[in-house]
Amino acid sequence: MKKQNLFFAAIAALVFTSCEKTEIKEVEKIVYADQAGALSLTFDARYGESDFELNKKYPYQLVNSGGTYDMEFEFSRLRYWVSNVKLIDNDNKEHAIADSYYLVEETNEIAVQHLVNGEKYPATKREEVIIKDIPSGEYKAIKFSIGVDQKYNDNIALTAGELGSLNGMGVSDGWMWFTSYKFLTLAGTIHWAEGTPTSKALSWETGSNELFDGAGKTVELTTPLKIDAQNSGKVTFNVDVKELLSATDLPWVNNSISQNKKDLMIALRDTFLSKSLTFKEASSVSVEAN
Amino acid sequence: MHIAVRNRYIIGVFAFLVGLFVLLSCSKDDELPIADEEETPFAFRQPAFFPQAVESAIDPKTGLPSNPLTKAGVELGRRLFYDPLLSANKQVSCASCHHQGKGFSDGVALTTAGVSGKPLERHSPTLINLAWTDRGFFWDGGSTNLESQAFGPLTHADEMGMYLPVLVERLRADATYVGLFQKAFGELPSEHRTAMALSQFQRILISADAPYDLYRRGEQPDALSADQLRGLNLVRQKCSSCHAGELFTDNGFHNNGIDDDFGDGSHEGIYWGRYRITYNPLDLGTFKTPTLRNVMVSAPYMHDGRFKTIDEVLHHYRFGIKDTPVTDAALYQNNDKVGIPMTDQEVEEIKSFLHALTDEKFLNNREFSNPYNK
Repeated sequence: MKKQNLFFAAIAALVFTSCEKTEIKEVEKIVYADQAGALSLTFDARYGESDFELNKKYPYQLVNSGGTYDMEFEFSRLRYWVSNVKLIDNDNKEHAIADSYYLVEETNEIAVQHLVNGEKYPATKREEVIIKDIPSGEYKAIKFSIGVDQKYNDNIALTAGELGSLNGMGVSDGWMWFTSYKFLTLAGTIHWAEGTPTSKALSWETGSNELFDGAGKTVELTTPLKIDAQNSGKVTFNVDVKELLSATDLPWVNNSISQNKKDLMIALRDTFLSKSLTFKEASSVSVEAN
Repeated sequence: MHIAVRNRYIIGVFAFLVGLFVLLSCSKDDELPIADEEETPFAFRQPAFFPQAVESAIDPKTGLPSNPLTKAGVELGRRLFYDPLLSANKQVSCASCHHQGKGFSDGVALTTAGVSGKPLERHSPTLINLAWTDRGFFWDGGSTNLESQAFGPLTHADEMGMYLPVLVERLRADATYVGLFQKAFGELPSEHRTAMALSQFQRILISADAPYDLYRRGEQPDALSADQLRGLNLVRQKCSSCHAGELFTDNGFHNNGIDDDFGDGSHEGIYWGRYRITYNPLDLGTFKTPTLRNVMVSAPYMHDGRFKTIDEVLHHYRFGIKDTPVTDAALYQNNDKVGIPMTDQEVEEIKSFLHALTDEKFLNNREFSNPYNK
């Protein structure tokens, strides 16, 4: 009987310890607890040379095959998921950050679609992501994706990092209508004095499992980042919204980009990754100095 | 002495294993102790001849199904399903549009029972044998799993109109729910656990005790009349490319020729069908095959409830199917012309058989009914 009990206890222990990803992190935590430092990622939204602000008209000169057009863009929302963060050390070894799903956003107050009780998603600005318990080491590059991978994108009831929390999810705006995540949204108004009418709503979105392939970006750091008990890392990216507008030559026509325009979604994704989101600077900061 | 040493050895190993468990425990935060009930699995019924039921999605963190059925989870889901607290105005529950006696449909084409009182864009579907639905929920399959699906009606402006932070606030202010969520999940109430509990309850809504089943399983060989037996054969012969197998649905999406103009994308793309999700032109006007189980108590029919009676449905398949490039090939049964040939007598036999799919045990099962009506 006792042998059997022991057997069952062993089986139970095996079963309970099978949640590999989390546990590995727990073990690392124990090992590195007294050495680990933090990494701060800042996504600094810009509009060309200026700071990016909501509800402000920015001039935009559109040049395409038809000619030159003077337009203005006014934004109400910029929001995207940063996910699957990996640090690459000097030996080219990748260190994946578990559960790394972060919502970066700058949004006006959003009236909830149904307004039954007048609920509103509050105006939010979040540009900095702080990741704790980074294993000590020197890192020469960082990788991440914009969007959510299929295993979570197919099931919004699962939780990991900031996914599935009420962070940006309490309103329907956080999802595509088929209950998966929007990866990137830019919304606002396009003004064009010669247009009829003279302004149009701007609504650009990307999403879908298909688009997650190719949504990754690797950024080489100019000098390796040292992170340990004495040093935290800080990386800053520029996110130039003006560059993002070049995703299409015809923004007035393509003022709405979503699921039904896959090619434009891909162009939007690629423009964001290659032109809009760029490395600005990285540094190690002594913890004592803070 | 020898025994004492062995015992010490065993205790030592056990202590090591316990230590290992504590060290490697999945739980990151200091959570309240998990009540025993969480571990009590719900005895899921896998009826004879049914295909294997679909597990909940794999949780990437554990590699195990993310929402296994437990007694406490199912019971919590049942209470939530019948509780109007889940709607913005506290007057609409899931059960407002899903009535057990009608196979969990609602008897009207487009309900106005939601918080806004506006008619919905789709007919309330039945909730039958959802544990076998493996190709998406909603009429257009827009949700890949039951858990995600729950957020649709919960938050839709014309259905339950719920702002999820308010839902969580309400549930956490309710001592009974706090206790039930702890029992079911070892956690405080949350929106995603709400969706999981609702899904657990919906997965146990199993209909497998109609006269047809008693006949099929040999429990009551004379459960079907001669007419019904002929009707069964006709259904297998003429309808089973979509209403397939023991589930009487292939869970697939088909254009059954009720419309011939798919240009109009209004009303949440109602004329588009699954095209709205896939943007594949071949999916224009396709909708999910509903099960024929309990079909005689779940009128009206189609995704918009346009056919009031089963006679109208059968009339459509005999004479009304529209021939379009996207009409399902299975509907060309009339010497390669569109339509399913049936004589008047065959129609009667088919209808007679469809009655044998009415599962009184399912429709009256107390375990599925409103727990607030004792």
